[in-house]
Amino acid sequence: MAGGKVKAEQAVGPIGVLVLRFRAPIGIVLLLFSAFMGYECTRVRIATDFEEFFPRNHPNVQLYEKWKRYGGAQTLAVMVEVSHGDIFNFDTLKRIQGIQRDVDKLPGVDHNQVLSLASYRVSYAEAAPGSLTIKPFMFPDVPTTQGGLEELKRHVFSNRARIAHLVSVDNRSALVVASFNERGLDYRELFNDIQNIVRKYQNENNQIFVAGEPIIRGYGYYYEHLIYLLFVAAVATMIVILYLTLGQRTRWWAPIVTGALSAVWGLGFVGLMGYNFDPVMLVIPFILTARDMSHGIQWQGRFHDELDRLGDKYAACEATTDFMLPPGLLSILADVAGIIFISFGGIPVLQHIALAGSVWLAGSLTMVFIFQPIFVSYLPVPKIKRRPRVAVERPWLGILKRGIDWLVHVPVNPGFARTGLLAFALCFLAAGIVASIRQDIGYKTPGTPLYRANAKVNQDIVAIGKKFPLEEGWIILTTPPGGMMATTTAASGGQSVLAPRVLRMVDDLRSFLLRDPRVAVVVSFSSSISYPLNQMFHYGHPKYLANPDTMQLSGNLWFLFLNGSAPGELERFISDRSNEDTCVRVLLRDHTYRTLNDLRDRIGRFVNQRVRTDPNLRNVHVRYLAGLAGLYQAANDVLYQLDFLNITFVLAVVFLFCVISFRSFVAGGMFLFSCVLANFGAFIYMGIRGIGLTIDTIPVISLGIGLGVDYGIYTVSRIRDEVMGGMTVEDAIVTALRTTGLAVFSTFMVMIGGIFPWIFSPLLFHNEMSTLLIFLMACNMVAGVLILPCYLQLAQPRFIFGGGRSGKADDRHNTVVAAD
Amino acid sequence: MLARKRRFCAWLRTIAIVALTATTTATSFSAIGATVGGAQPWQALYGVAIRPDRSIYIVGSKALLMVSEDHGKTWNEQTLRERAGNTLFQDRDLYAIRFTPDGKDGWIAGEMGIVLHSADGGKTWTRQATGVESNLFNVSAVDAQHAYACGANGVFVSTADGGQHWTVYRYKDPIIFFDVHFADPENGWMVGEFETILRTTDGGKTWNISHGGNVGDFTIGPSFSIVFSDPRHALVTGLNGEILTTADGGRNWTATRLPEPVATYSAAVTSGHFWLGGEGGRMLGLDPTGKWVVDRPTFNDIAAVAFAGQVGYAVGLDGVILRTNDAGETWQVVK
Repeated sequence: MAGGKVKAEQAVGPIGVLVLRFRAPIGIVLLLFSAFMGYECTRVRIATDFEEFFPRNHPNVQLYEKWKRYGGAQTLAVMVEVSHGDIFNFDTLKRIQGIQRDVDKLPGVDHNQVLSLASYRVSYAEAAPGSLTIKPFMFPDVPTTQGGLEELKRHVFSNRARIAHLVSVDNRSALVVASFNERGLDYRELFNDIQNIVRKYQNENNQIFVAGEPIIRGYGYYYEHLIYLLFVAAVATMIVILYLTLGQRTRWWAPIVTGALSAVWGLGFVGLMGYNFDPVMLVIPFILTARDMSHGIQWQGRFHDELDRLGDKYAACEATTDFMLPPGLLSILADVAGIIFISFGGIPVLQHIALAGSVWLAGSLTMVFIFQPIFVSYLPVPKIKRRPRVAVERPWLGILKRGIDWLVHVPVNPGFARTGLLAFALCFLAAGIVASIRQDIGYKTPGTPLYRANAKVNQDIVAIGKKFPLEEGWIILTTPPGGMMATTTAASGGQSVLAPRVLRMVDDLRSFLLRDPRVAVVVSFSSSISYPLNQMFHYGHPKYLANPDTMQLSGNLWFLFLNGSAPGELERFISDRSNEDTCVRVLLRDHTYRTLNDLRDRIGRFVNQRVRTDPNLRNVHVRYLAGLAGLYQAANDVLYQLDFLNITFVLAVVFLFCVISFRSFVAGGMFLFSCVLANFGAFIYMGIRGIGLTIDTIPVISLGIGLGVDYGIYTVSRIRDEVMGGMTVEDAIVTALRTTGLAVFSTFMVMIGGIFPWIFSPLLFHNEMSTLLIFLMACNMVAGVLILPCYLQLAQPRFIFGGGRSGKADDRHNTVVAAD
Repeated sequence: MLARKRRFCAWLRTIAIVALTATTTATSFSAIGATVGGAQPWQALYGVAIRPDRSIYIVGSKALLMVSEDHGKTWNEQTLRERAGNTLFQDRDLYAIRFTPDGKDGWIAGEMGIVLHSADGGKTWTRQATGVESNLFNVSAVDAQHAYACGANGVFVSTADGGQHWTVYRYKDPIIFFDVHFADPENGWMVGEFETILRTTDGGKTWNISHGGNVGDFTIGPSFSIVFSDPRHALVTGLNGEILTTADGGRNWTATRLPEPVATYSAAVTSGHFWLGGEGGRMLGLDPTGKWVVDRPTFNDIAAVAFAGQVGYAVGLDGVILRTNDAGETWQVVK
């Protein structure tokens, strides 16, 4: 360990003595508290709550909550696609009907919101002289004769606009859509039932594809076994690394105990607060555990050194505590700073991560640096199980040694390597800035960001998305009441949702929005009900696919639809009989940040220029954007602000800590540069992999800064110590890199060991978080171990080479080094 | 130290600028008035006319006018603004367009009594006051002075001075008249609800019932379109595959049925043969043997058909444009 160089007597203080003196009461209190937290752990609910991914205070989320009666975001879409011909054959139609019926039986389904060609709610109007009839397309039975089949075809073809969201234009696919009640959904049961439906109705000619939030969440349970396997692999990896590092002594397993107890604190807090333990965020607990383990290994390493030196386990415990606690505190405070600010955005899942993560880290601090000495003091003195093996000279070992030797001399040897490294750092920074300019917020690709692009659920979403747009945003119009009463009392009806001028405005909005190719369909009472009924009411004449020209006609069409459609069908468009509100659904081809923001801008422009400028619409209020698209946008908005705020705060804390720690603004700026370099590097990586700033990447970037800054601090402190010890600049840097640099690498390996297995997770969240974290840590390591020493050698700043620092400050720096 | 502080601030500023810039780039879209490849699905196309120079004029929803001078390869899309307000204040629907036989004068009829006139072959259009607020569904242009339009609420309007003054005629019953046809300034026909076929011989001052007109019987379907292949032979389209034909200049009308029970909303003649456009994208043509042939190049309702020799265009809902180069034998969707 790098800290072995420091003289022990310099660091001995009262903390270690105090901890050991009151080891029994402190130990009992900590164990009792851990037992309490352990009890709370049993109350932890492992679940994913859809609503927790979105900021509750955002207007979009509040709008969604208020108007959830328009359908909620928990929508399931089951698509039947034929391999040959079209869906208009007896077998496929029977299957569509069967799926409709089976979906209607699923637990938690809203029976008013199960729609398909076979639904009694999905109907068409037929014009005849003197009459207009509204009939369901295929209810109660599928056609049994060829003539019936042709008739159905005719109705579908003639009412394409009415059925476009359920039968594809190429007639090869049909959709069954269903909405679910949000709270208390059992995703596992739902997933199994949906899989049964797929198995039951799929055959060679009829492929079934399933999309929507219920199946997306349900897939979490489908991958459960693999996730358990990865969980075990990650734990095993950490234990193996622990054994490889400390295994030459008995009691090598002590960090497992402290790590487990820290986890108990973190998880106990989750249970105590009633949070869900979200499996999609599993990488975060693992990085915290890896962090804990890394501290534990450092502590044990130092303890063994002190034990060898002092020969007494109590004295060694005291000395180790005094050496390790201050830098541990500093390091963990930096980690807490890295995670706590993500709670600012108001996104519940991030708040939970921030708070539980902070408690977890506090648990680490307490367990590793307070409880560990107490625990170790009660254990027998660890014995050396085996002597280090005599190194065997192997050719590759020699090459490795020469390689390391060359590497540690790079910062001190003027020449191509050092210039190249610094130039590379600057280029990397420039590339990072460019990447950050091009960095998107939110999800860049269609499909669910939870799973990989090639996962079955994403393949299904893409397959369905090609035929039917699924991303739905709502625009809610609130107006004065109107309707049948308003046809006789015209005063109130003039601006109700049924008023011709309001219907026309909505149709104007529709055509305006549809000019954006990313908007696939706009569904409204105006374009989907009133206009087509007006056409049918006038013999189906195309010139009557238009605004009803009087309030009376509009009211009649509304009444016609109300009486001719299934109960609840009107409520998809107008939520109650007083006609005071209506929902305009905007179906988008994707839910990327830019698409959603452009949509919001366009709606805003329309409202400002078209609605607010019309005195006849002054009582009409347009509220946007709810629906699933609105929720995604709410998260994006918060992430955008959060990213800026969070990184600024974390960097500010890093700067502050470094300024205090080194008593130098130059030092603060230098470490800031190192953090920015590594952090902007993350943007390069994210750009290459097509990852946006999202709910899963924000905490990782944030944590990465806190965890990564230590590397530079360790190395620079060591260089400073060596310089103060009388070494030349070149020797100090080479020595620091040989000792601390190696220790940093070892810490890095321990850290990534715990998260490496998650790269192979089927959950894209796990994969992206773990790879990004590893990349960030690696960038931080290179910046801290190689680039900063290059800078020090060239610039020779006063805080290292100027001398004149007090002995007290020296002690403190020594303790920083001891952390390795 | 100050310089170093500044550098730090610059860093924070860079981060802020970077984050802000990332969100401000927006996608641009084709503007109204631009050259386009065709109509969009949300645009309803209601009327089509072909000038003698073979340029094609289409009118549609929200004051849409599309003009192609290269046989439908590209279209110039314009909005014939009628209402005040900004560009998002979208305009009235335009239902029909007709040019005089020399192609110099043209009229467009539309929603809320709109009539637009062009005296320069369709380059510029000016609003003419008709004095009615009913929707005008069709227009007939005989020469530079004489034009006629009909529409909802039993309304018929005519001009004998190039549109400077319009005379309004209201039928005794407020029925919808869907089509009007004048072969010369005096003799004309108008068809509408209840299979009503009216005839005038005095330029629209008085009208006589040639067929139907029983507005008390709601089981009688409407007549949508009237077209003559010669002064004696005419065809009137209707609902559910019902058509009326005459072989004696309209003295007697014979009801027959099309091979499919679909509504046909528009009709045109080329080389002496009738072509009807109707419900669900059906194009029905009467072949030389007197047999109806049915083509279905689209599923969208067809609102208007026009021919100029062998070339014909049909337009309809969801922005559909059909084209034929062989007098209707085959129709293709113009993409």
